[in-house]
Amino acid sequence: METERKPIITGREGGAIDPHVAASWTKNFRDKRTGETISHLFGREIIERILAQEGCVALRFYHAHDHDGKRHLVISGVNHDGTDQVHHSGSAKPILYEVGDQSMPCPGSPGCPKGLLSDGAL
Amino acid sequence: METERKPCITGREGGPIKLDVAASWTKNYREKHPGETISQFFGKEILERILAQERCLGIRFYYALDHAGKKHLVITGVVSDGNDQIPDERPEEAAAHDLAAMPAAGAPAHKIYEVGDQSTPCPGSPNCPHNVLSVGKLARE
Repeated sequence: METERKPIITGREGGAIDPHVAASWTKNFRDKRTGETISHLFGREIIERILAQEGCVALRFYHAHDHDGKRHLVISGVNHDGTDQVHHSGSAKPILYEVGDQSMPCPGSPGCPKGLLSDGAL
Repeated sequence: METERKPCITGREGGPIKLDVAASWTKNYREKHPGETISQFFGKEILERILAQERCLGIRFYYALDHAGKKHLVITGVVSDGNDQIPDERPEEAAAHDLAAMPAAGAPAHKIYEVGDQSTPCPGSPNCPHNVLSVGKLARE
């Protein structure tokens, strides 16, 4: 039986980064992984839907590859105790959680930016 | 001079995925990259701050590696033409420009955008989950 997990997620995880530091880190990725997907875009609707799920205090982003080797980010809501909102049990009332995908990758979709984080340009 | 970009982002990008498909794709990743960070999470506060930025229609997640080789996700707001909301490079000049073009009294002098990082990785942080997405099986109840 899984032991009870303490609530440790506050919703305040993550913070600001200097854009120039961020630019050097995204450049490191592009230099090391030439030709790979460099970013994914999720529209605000799915982000807001998952954040609105009962008990959701954060979003977790899973690195994933489909069976053709294409990169994806899979997103799920996160509860206070760090568990993902992927299934529900222990209640007579079913809760439907959404797990998200279908983000727009760059390169490979319309509107990919040319800027500090994507190619180092101002 | 940069040509004007057409609006192409609606805010509806992304959609649901079946849990068993997602589980098989995260498993593919773990098998291809053993020992690496498999997930990162951001609390709702920073996500909501970025979504609250004026004209923001979505969030872009950039893969990044710091100089020690550690994986990061860098996040920015995105506007309708797909451009990122990056903090102003020249706040004084921009402020002066905005001031000159200010449409109404009380409008902000320049826009403050946030670029986010410091997500919490798994493995490597407390309370990493054990479920179909992280280890390929449901947590025992």
